[in-house]
Amino acid sequence: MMRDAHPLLFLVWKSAFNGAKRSLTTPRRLIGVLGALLYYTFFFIRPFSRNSEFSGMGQTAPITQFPEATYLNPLVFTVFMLASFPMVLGLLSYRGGFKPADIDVLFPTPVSPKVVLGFRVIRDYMVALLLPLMVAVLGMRPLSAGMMALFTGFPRYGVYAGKSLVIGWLMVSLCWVSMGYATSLFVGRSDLKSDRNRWLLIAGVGMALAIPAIFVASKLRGEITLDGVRDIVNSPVMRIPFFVASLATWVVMAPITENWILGWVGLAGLVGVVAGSLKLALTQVEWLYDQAAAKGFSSVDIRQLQKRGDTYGIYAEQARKGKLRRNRLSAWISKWNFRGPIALLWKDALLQVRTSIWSYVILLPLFIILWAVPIQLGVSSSGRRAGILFLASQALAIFILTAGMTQTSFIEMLKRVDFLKPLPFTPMVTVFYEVVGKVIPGVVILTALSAGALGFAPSQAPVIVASIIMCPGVATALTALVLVISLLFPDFDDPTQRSFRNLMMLLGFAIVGSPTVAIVGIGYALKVNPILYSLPVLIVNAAIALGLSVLSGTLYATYNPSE
Amino acid sequence: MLQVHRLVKQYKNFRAVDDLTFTIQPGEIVALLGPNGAGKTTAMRCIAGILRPTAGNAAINGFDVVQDQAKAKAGLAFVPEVPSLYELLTVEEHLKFVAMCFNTLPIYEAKVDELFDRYALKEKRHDLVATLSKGMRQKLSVACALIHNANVFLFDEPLIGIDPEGAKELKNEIVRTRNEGASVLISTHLLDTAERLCDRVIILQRGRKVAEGTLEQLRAMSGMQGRSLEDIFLAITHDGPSGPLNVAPQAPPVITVQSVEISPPPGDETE
Repeated sequence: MMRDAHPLLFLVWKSAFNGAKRSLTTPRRLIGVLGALLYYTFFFIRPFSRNSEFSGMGQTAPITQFPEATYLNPLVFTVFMLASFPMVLGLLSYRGGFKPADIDVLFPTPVSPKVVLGFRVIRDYMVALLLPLMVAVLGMRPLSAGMMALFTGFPRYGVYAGKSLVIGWLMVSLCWVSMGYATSLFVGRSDLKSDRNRWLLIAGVGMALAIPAIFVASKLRGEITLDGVRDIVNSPVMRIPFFVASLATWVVMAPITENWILGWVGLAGLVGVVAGSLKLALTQVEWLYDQAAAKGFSSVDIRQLQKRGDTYGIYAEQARKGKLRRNRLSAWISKWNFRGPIALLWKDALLQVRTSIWSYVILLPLFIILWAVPIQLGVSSSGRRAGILFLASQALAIFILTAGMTQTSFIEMLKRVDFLKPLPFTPMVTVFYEVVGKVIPGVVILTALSAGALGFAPSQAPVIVASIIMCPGVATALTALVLVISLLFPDFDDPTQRSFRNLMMLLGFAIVGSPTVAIVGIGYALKVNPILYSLPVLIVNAAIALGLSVLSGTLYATYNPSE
Repeated sequence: MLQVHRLVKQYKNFRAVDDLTFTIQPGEIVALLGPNGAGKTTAMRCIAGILRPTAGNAAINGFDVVQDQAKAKAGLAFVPEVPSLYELLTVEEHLKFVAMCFNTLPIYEAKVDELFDRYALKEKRHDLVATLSKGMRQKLSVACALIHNANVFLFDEPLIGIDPEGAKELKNEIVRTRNEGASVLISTHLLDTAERLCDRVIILQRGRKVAEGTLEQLRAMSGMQGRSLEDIFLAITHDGPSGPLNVAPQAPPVITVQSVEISPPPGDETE
């Protein structure tokens, strides 16, 4: 067994070492790593650092009265129960994460599947423990302060409760990882029995969730009191289905209630769940390779496409599997006839309708909310501030559409360069029509929404009309910028470069958007009619878009996907 | 020796491999032919212990790949069609990893330089696999198959993506392993290569074996004397309204030419 583990240790160590070394090999990757480090430092680590303004959180406002154990117990149980929900649902999904290389290289070797499974479980344990560890490391100071506040006057509780909380959480994590492997192997086999097993598991999990839900709903009909809620949570109807949370609660409550026997029983129960699950997983281990391979072969293309950010490729793969159907709009667009480079716009319209229409549908409510707030303010106050808020909402919507949606389309464009470049258009023309093609759907949606807003707030007509005038210019300039950045950092497979590309895009948005902000700011300060300052915004952004398109054209002309 | 006995692989309602039986003796190269979706790759993955057979079994050197997995796989080398390799290992580390899995590090030490020379991998030995071209990956995959004491080789479309020089070297390697007493199974669409390289041919269609034998035996049984393997293959696997050309309309019988006999399907005495 141990001999079998050596190659796996070698693989993990060498892959990690080479991966770290590789990230320092080229200036682009190095910049990406440094950018990512700076990003995480500023956004995650710094807020919890010693000198940060957040570090004092929790030290003010101590809780002077210790919560009674009769209420603390259901509270702890509820926390564990809620934390368990995603893990319960995870029982129904495949738990593998094997790489295609595992299937092609590792599985045909004599390395025992038990060792492979053991490695996989340990890796998932590490991942499961990583989150609480991160919280513990980064949030230790505020967490300690919170615990100190909670247990003011009860130091003996504080010492044990903190430790048992950590142990309880760790055990719960390990329980769910182990149970996940046991059920995954049980229901994911390629034989016909696994279908029956899957339905049994779905029924079991469904009942475990439905019965407590119905119970809670029936109990909450009358008057709700604190004691009533406590009794609901303490009921066996809640405690039995969520037995992992119940056992963990016993562990956590033991030092507070000083019921050590129950605490040890809880700990033994959790250990038993882990051991039993692993035992069940091991009895199914002969199916490990089969399941991973069957899943791997069917999903390898999708995973590789996801890894590369090839959204269009994913849709194409889904279409091949019969999961994507033609819609009426695309059938209608496909009948249009064009000549010359306008065919690029037609191609983009078809692709966007087939691949992005649901993204627009999902975003639509967000845009309506973004519009509704300033419009409502405008109706009530007809103030200039509401107008500025409306323009800000419009800018945010354009940002979402350009940053979020066009990047994928440009990655698609660069990946299909072998097809696009031989077309009889100059690089400049190709780039220009590609940019315009990506802008049109978003501009149409935003213009339609703005036009609709006119009906609700006629008093805001100048600012709404101004937004309609500005929208195409700003959207085209930002979209052209996305293409420039994509051409400058085109390594789709490199995660560090991907992160860095996103950072550069944010920086670029700030630079490209600054003339617009300046013009609008000056216009607002001088109380100029918004329609008047919308025209220079349109002209300036059109010039920026043109300049960026020229730059993109130059970069695109020399772009080589093999480099 | 490789023995496959009544192997079945069923996915839900789809039978990818159906009752496949054959044996490859030591010192024999057998081509596994069939149209796309015939079940060649699935059969190979079952034999390699990657997929678990629904029924039947495969044995390598007498060891069952399911019941006695470690011993069976110790004698097996599998080269997949498009090898997925560990991208963050160097070429040398990848070979070493495979040798560690097979517990054959002394063989690795002895053979690694020779393999690097033979497959033009020497200059790439310290490069990450991620940086290799498709052809170089295929060469590395073949090198991995040769880094331990295998005597049963499974090659799934081994010549796809390799340059002419590499292809020639690989063909020589396959013949060399056969001459050293290995049993070799090659799945390929390159019928002329199969004709020149292989001692025997197995033709699959829709998961079932529809023909097996030497080229001469296939010619004799199909009545296509002097014709190429390509002609015979197309005739056997032709999907007309009545199924394969040379077989009964209802169910294709197995033309087991190896022992010069035609075994009709059960219950059908008319053939």
